[in-house]
Amino acid sequence: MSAMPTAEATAIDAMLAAAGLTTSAEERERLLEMYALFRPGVEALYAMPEARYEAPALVFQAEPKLTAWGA
Amino acid sequence: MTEIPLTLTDAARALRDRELSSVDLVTEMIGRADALDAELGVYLARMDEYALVTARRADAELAAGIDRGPLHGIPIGVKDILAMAEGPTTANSLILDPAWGEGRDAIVVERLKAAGAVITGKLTTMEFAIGLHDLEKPFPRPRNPWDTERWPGGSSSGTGAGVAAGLFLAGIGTDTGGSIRIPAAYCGTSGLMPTFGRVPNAGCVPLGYSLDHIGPLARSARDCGSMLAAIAGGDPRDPYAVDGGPFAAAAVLDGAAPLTALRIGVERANHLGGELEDPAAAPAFERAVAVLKGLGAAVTEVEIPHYAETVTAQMVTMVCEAFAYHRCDMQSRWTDYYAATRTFVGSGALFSGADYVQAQRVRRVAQRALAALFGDLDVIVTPTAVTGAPSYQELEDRGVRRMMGTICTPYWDAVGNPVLVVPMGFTAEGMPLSLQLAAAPFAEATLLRAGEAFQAETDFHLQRPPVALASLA
Repeated sequence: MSAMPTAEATAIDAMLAAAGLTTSAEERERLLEMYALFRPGVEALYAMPEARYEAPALVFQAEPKLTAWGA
Repeated sequence: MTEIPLTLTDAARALRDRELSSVDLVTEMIGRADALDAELGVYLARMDEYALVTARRADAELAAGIDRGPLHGIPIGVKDILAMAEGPTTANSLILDPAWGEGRDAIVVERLKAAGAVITGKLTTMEFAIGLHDLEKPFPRPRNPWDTERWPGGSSSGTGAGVAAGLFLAGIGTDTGGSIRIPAAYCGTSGLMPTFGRVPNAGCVPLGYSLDHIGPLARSARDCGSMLAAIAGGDPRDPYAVDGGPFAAAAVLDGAAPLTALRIGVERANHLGGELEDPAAAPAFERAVAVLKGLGAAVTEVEIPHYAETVTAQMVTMVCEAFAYHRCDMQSRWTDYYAATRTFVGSGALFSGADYVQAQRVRRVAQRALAALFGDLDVIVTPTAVTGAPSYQELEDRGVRRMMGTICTPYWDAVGNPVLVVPMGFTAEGMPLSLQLAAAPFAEATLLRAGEAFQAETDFHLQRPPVALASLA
C-alpha cells in the first residue's frame, strides 16, 4: 500500500466504505488495480457520440406484468 | 455393458425402437458417475433414486404409447442455480439461504419434467455463476475431462464437464458473460445461448437480471434444439420472458435446406491476432469457415459494431446488477464468499448509477447497429475463445484477467442475440477449440440449421475425452 494515497485510492476507499464492504489489504489492492483498468473503458462509454441521445435498454411499466414465482 | 448412444437424438430414437430403456440409460449414467465424479467434480447433488423412479415411469409411458417428445426418458443434468423441488439449491455457495426455492421448481425444471426428462442431479457451478473455484470452500472442484489439471470453464462447469464425460446426455446451463459457451468450448460440447427472454428465468438464482440466459449444453446442435423446444416460451412469472413463437427443433431441422441461401459474416478483427492466441486457434477457425463455405454459404468479412464499448457495458451491467443482489450479504458475510466472487461482485461498488445507465444506453446503440448488420447477414461467426482450457496452475499464476482476454463471449450477452457454439478442432495439447455462431434475435432456427450442417461435415462434437473412454474400458 502506498504511503500517500492517490486520488483513485481515496475514491475507492470512500466507495467501499459507503457500500459497507470490509476488504483485506490484498483485496483492496486488487480492486484498485481493477478500477485503474476498467475506468478508462467506462469513461469511453460517455464519449460515444451514438449514445448521446439514445434511450437506455431499460423498460419500466406502470402496470407490473409479473406473477411472483412460487405464488 | 449396454451400448449407449452418444447423442440425445440417437438415444431418443433407440428408446422408441426398444433398443434400450430409460432405466438402461440411467443405470449406465449412474455407473459412469460412480467411476468418474469423484475426479471430475460434476455433481453437487446426485439424485440416483429419483432418476431411476422417473426412468421407470418414462419406460412405462413410452410402452403405453404416451410420448412426451425427444427428452422423454433422457438423462439430463441441471446447474445448481435452478430450483428443483427434490433437493436444496446452493448456487455452490455458503451464502444462499437453504430455504430459497425449497420444494419448488424453476420454470425450466417444470418444463423439463413435463417433457419427461430424467433429471440426474444438480451440477457444479462457480459461486453464484461467477468467478473461480475456491479451495477453502466445501464444494467439489470441477475438472476438465480432456485434462483434469485444467479448468472446465465456467460458470456452467459441471454441465460442460458432465456432457463431455458422458455422465448425462444434455444439461442446463446459464450464460451472463459466456457461462454456457465457455464450458461448452473448453469441454468440446455444443451449447446454445437462446435469445434473451426466449427462456424464462424465474426460479433461477440471478447474476445479472438483464443479462441472464438459461440454455442447453449437449453433444450436437440438434440436441440443443430439442432441449430448447422443451424450455422455450413466455411465462407471466418472468417479466423479461417473451413468447417469440413456438420452437420445434425437428420441424426446423428435418429436411433442412443446404446452406446455399445463408449469408455468413466472418469476424476476425476483434478476435484474432492477439498475443495470447493459441497457434491452433486461427487455422481451426479458418477451416471451420471453409466448411461452411463448402456447404454453400456466402461468406463475407464483417466487423462487429462497438465491440470494446459493448464488452465494457456488459461488465458494468453484470457487476452492478450482481452487487445489488449481494450487497447486504457482502456486508455481513464477506469471507463466506469465494475469494474471486468477493472481488468480481464487490467491484460493483465502484460504479455509479450514471455508469450503469450509460452502459444501458450503449447496449441500445450496439443493438441498433447490430440489427442493421443483420439486415444483410444471417449469421456472424467468430471463435468462442482463442485458446483451449487454461490449467488451474495458469489461472493461479497469471490470474483470471489474462484468461478473460481470450474469450469472445460477453458482447452477445449485452445485446441479447442467440448464439450457438460447436466444437471446431483441438490445440496441439489436445484441448477442444470452438466456433461461435450468432444470429438476429429469435433466429435460433438459423443457428441450429448451420450447426447441424457443420456437424454433418465434421466429427469434433463426437470426440470423447480420454477419461470417459478409460471409464468404459
